[in-house]
Amino acid sequence: MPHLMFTSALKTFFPNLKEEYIEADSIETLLSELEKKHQGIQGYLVDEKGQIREHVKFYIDDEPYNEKVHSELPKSAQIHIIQAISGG
Amino acid sequence: MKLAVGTDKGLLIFKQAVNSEWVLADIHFIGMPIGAFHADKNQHWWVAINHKHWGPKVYVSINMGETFTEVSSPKFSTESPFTLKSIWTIESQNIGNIQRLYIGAEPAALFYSDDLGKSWNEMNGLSNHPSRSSWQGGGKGSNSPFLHTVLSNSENENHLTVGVSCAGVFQTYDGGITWQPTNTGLKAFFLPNTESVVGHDPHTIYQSKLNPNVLWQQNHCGIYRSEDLGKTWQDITDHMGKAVYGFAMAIADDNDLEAWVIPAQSDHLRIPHHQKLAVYYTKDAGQNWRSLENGLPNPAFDLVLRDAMDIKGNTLAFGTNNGNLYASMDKGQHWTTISQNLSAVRCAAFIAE
Repeated sequence: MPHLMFTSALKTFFPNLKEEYIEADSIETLLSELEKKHQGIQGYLVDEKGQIREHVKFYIDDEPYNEKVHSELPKSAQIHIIQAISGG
Repeated sequence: MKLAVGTDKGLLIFKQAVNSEWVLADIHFIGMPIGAFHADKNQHWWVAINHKHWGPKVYVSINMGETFTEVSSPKFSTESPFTLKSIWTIESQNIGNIQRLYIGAEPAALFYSDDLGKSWNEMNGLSNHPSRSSWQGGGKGSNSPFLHTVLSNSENENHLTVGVSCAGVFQTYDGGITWQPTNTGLKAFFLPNTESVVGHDPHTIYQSKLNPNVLWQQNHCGIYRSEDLGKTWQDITDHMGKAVYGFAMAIADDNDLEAWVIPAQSDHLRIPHHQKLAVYYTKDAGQNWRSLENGLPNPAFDLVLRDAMDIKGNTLAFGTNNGNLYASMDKGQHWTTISQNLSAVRCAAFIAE
């Protein structure tokens, strides 16, 4: 089951957020499962078209998320969601 | 009376002490960039945060800042080519028993909510206006047009006026279904055709409370006033060449002749004339402008952004992009410094205690 970790900055808005294991085989599923647990969080990570926000970065096993390469998430994936430095 | 100041690093609430000095009373959303602040008729506060990472968010406080609740943010539809970049203004209007909220957005669009921010609808007649392809980005670093001003009409709930940079003033008389550009009289010196129907840059627009037919506009290309609800505009730019380019404006509560602006030297030199921070004032509907500088610094390198000045009775306050905040108790004759250590001030609004 993928292991999901977050930037602590998100705890400002979702105080109960902590690293967790989420059953998901794609980023889309991961996001919708996450939304069930933390209502509203999806809107912080992706825009209204479902695109990951410009200054939010997903890393899969320490590699930047690439839609083509990571269309299917490995069961043991370590996923980091961080705020990109590009965002200032 | 309190003063709400939206900065790039939080929403600050100042209140007047017994000795009239303004003191910092509260800080909300510390470290976060405030995009817009609006206190509605129920004294509910609506706040937009334009997060760089997490996207624009909207909050409401029904207890004057004691607690805030996040409501939903406007969203462009899946068919729209746009995604919400930032929120520039929040306004409200009472229609019968409901309170309608408006959000002016970048890319330029007007959203409204009739359920206190639970859901938002886009006014597609404006977003898809036939002139849309000619709209341009405006503002520092912005490559998309944005909607920064919304005026409702207490005498006609179906009538709205909006300001879009850079497209101009648009009005609807059918509740937002169809929109007409109303830029007659404005000049756009940055366009080949300076009297273009669309393409203007109205930095901010105000409506007289006393005489709703009178609108005032600080434009990129000067200062304008309308006596027919914006159908036509008269150029009231300072003939001495000082009160020309700027963003912020305030108009008197109790007459339709007095206004205050804070000019910059020019659009390519966005600092005060001769580095002397000054408010310019007219008491004759813009026939003459004179500077009010008593208590303001020299030299200064400040620019005052479009929503960063407010007026209530004789009291004026404004904040600058350099984080300075000033107030006057006598319509600008004398100014005192409230703070010179803030972050860039985006908006300033007097609110009830």
